[in-house]
Amino acid sequence: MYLPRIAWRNLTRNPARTIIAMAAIAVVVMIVVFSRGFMVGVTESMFSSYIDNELGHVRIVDEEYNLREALLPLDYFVDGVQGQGASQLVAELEARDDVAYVLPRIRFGAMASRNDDMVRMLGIGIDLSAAEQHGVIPEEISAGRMPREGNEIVVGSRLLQDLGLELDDRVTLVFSDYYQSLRGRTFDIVGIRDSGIADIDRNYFYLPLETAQEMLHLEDEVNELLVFSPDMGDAEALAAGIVSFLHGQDETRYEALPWNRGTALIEVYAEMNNIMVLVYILFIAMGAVVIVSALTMIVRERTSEIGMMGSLGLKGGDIMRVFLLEGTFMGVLGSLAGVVAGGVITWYFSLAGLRVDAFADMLMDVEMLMEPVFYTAFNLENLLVSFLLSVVVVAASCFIPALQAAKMEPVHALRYVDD
Amino acid sequence: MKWPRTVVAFAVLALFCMLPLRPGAAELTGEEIMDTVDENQFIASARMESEMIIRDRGRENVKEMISYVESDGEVTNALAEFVNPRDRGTKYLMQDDELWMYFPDAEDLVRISGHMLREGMMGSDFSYQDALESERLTELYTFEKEEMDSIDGREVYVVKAVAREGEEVAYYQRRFWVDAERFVILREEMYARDGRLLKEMITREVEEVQEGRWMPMEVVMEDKLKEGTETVYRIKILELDYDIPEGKISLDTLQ
Repeated sequence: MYLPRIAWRNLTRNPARTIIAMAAIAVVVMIVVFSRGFMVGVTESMFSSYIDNELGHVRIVDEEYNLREALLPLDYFVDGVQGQGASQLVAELEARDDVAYVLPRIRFGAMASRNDDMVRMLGIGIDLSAAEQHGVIPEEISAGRMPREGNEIVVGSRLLQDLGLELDDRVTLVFSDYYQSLRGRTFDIVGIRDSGIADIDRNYFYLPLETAQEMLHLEDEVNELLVFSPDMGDAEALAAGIVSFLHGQDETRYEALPWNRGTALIEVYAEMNNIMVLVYILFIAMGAVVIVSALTMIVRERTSEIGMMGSLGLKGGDIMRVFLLEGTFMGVLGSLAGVVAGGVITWYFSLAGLRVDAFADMLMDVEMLMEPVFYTAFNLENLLVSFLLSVVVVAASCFIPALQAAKMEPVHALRYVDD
Repeated sequence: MKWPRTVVAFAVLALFCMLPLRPGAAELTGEEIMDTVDENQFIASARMESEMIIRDRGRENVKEMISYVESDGEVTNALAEFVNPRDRGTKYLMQDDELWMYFPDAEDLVRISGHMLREGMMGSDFSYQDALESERLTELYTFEKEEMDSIDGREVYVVKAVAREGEEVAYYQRRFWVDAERFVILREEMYARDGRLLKEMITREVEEVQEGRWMPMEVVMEDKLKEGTETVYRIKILELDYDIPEGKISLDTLQ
């Protein structure tokens, strides 16, 4: 127990140097805590947007539809097992233990005439009762209400602006039905959705699933089923289970796609998160350089003292432990300070958010489901992982100067004169 | 033996009379050929009952319509009403180079303009712009006659057309195969400015609608940018010089 006491006492022998070394680590750890919180917050927010609006935890579509989705075809649909109807398939899926709920949807293209332009948009037929219970749309209605029946629609806030219309106005939309006949119909705008995501608010409108089926000449058919499980981490297993269930009933037309393979963007972000771990380690190693430098100076300054310790009977291993502990104590204290500072900053931006105007402007023009305001993720896991990572990296970095001290011959060390 | 001068004069006159009144096949320019085509295709007023058979990857949809067309040679207006069960009540009005649509379930008329005119009409291979292009070809294009060809045993002129500068056309370049006797287009290719083949139209059936005047009654259009699609347009009844009631082709009628 006396070695830690020696190491701890040595920290006060040159307070300025000790404080500088700890401050270096604190700054780096603070950056790491904030960066991790930022990355986690952004990716969680983006994943959540895609899951809630596009992918579900598992998305069931006809395999041909998946290939031609950009054309919004109506001739490849989910009509249940062996054509028994989408409703029946929804009921069977919801009876499974690994499924929380299912949202059936129809997506189709439409347009409206405004002055000399045609405003293009995407219509989504939704199961109203399921959406009211589980979907995100009701929470994001900024004015009006959800559609109840018939020709009532909810329109994205920016789309409404593009159309030059307001709540309670009527709008005539043109679309192609299953038979490729161009049709027109007038709808009542009963609600405005403001999701905060530019792509959604600019392009989408929502109507009752039954209305969409009737006007498009579809029966009990939908484009996609969004399946949600109690835990989004189980998506791969759920997808495999659904495929197995369908194949067991000789139904091979459909694909079940887990959300983490839903779009290339999500796969890229998942990979980026893995790569960022390396970046955090490098960040901390940068800060550790200061401690290593300080320790190296300490070993040099105390060479004769090291000789004294050796001649008094301390083994090389003990000497190494003293310096290792000294460096580790600096790392621990610095990391603690960094975690506290980084935690405060992360907590603040988890509530206030961080808006970058240039990025927000860019999102207006790209098809990406991402909010323009970033909220960092504040959680104990981030603080703990950052702290432990820092302590380990610093301790590992101190190994070499500590080893140098341990290898000194006491006789030569006693005679050392620092010029 | 000397031939009497009078006999020689009569012989020359007789020979002259045997010559055709219009220039020979070898002498017609591309513009003259297409001018005659324009004359044949010009409709002052007409009522038509027609159908469009749209084939797309094994599926077939049939649209039936009754159309009224009137033109003063400069501007063509037309009204088409769909009468097949699925589309009954839908109407299109072409007026002043604008396309208006009426749908039974819609409160407002819809005006189609701009790039939307290039979309396929009712999912067919005929675009709205194809239907809207009512001006004479000779006003829109310059022509160059190429070598003669034959289609189904009939001799045809092959005429290449390039859009005149400043003219708004559906296709920058076109190539026509024109029946040398009847001056009706038997085949047409439509190209983009970069030379890409966009569409091909083949005439399957022609009819002498008036003495010496032939018109295509059944054509097949194929969009070369789409796979597995073709549209057959067939005129079942054509009443030329039809007495169209005043105001029939108007926005009021559409609504």
